[in-house]
Amino acid sequence: MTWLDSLTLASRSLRRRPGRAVLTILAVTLGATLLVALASVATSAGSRIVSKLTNGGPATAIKVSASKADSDQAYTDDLRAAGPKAITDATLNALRHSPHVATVIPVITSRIVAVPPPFGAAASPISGVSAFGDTVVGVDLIQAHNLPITVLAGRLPQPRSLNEVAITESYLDHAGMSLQSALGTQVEIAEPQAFQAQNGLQYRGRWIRAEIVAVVSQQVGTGAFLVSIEQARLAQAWAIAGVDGGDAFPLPISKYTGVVVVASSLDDVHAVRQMITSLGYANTAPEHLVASVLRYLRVVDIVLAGIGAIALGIAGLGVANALVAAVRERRREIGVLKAIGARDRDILRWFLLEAFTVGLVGGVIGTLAGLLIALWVGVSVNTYLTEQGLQSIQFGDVSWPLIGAAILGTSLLAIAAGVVPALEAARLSPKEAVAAA
Amino acid sequence: MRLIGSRPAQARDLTHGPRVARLGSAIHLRGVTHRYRSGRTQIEALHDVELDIPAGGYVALTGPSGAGKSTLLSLIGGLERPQSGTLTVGQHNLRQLPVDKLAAYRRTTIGFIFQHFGLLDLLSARENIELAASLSASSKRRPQARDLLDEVGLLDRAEHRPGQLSGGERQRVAVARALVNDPSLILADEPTGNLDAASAMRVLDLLERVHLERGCTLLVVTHNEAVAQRAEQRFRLDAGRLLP
Repeated sequence: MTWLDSLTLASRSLRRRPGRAVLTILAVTLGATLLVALASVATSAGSRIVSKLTNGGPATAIKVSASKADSDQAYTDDLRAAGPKAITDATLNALRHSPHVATVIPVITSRIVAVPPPFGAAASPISGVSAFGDTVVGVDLIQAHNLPITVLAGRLPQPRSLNEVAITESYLDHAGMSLQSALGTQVEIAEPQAFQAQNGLQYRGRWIRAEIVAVVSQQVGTGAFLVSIEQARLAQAWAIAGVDGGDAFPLPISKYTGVVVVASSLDDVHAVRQMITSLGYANTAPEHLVASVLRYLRVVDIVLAGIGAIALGIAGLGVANALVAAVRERRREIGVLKAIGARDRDILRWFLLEAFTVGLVGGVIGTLAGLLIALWVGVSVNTYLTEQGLQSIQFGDVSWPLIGAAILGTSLLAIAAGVVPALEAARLSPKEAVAAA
Repeated sequence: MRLIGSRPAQARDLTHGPRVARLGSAIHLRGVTHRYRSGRTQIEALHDVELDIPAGGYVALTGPSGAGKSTLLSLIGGLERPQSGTLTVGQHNLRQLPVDKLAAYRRTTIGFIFQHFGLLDLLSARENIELAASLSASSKRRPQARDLLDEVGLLDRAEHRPGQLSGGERQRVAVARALVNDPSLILADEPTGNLDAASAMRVLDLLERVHLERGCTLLVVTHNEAVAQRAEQRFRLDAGRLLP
């Protein structure tokens, strides 16, 4: 008997008892729906929680400061600095070639003076209320996804851009702007340089005017402006070309203000931090906090998986029950098939394909329904969060591995549930089966 | 080629006429005894049966209900193995065939025809025949099915399901299915038991024509004396014993 013959028999057997087939498929559908909805919501919520803990960056990111690590650094998530320690290109190379390190992203910060609009004749003097001293934080913006940066509005500046900046909410406070109104406006930034004049220490500025393209929340460095690392490098070079500006504008002691090191996996974070500490640098990562939260999330996952497994187990029993009934009903047909030469495996394949069809159809429908329910839950939760003045959560991202696993899983479950009745059918004595006619 | 309806429905002298060389399987039973359990009771269905049916023979097996006719047919058809004695069909010693070989024997050597037709309601007449062909991995299942339906006069009912056919038509489809793998032995268990007289005669005519044209051995189990009269040889079973 060919596979096509078996499939024809399986599909027509299902159509012969449409009520039973629909109910069995419905049982599988409900199981798959529950599992997919729970998994989808749990995954979204879990990744959101971890994302919140890591300020939008990967949970494997470690912030390294241009500071010496104190003796307790190895035992705490917090930064334990004990004096300055320069980060050089050699440091970056050493980090890049260390085991378990996925990415190394240098950070350069530079003191500046910012002047929000209006400019020109209507501009306020630097000493006026509108101008303020702050810091630009420069990073390789291509690597922004590996950094603790969350875009609240707009888009990140183009990588290497010298005339686009992103601002934090502290700039909005200084400039008296709302989040949306700041986008598209310009800001003048003076990168200061100290020099010795005849009448003592003086300052001059390298002025740039940049467009604000995003409002972000960032934990890369302390500063209201996020710029490309090229922009920050220019500002640093300009400052170094002068003399030490004292407390207001000191010369940088390190080429890089900090480094974000991304470990290959969560399990590697501890080893990478130990390596960084052994190099003598203070560093920080929510290592213990994330591990602790992940343990709780794991418990939640197990509980939810247990609920889903019970639902799928019930669905599997439904499939098995339907097939047991089908085998009883079809003893005559099984006997006839065996009498005309069908092998045990032909009969087995017929019933297993019937189970597989039920599992596949139920799995596909259930998975789609589960995703829709996850979306609906997301909308409901976000409506509530918005009403409470809280930030919304991104739910219902389509996870192809989850979809594939759900459909494959329910199909395999249905086959597994059908094995016993299918074996019973395959092992029926042809004589008994013909006698049943 | 339509074969039915053209021959008189009476017994013929089969030593004359358009017979082909006998290609069927000879059947030999030596001391075959078979018991089965019904609840707590053990029933001896066959007792020390000795039987020889020549290759290409046309044999009727009669007897009252419970005489062991169906059991004997099941043993010869390879649906179960005899518990003692020797049973050979052609080259096959059925007591020694393993399960897979027994299935292959049923597939290639035997053509079964049941009183209740034994067609799968899920499939059309054509598909029932094709399914039997596909069990033997035939690569020409569709033309074979069409030829056989033509042969039994049901080509125009090829796509009809068994439920849409009359009893006689169903039994003719069953005959076509039995023939699709070109068996050397046709076993018919009360083939006319559920048919009216006219349909019964048509089916018998068809079986006899097939027997003559193909030279296969034909064993018919029947209660009906008129049916039995048409066979070349008749045997009677009573209480599991073959009567002389």
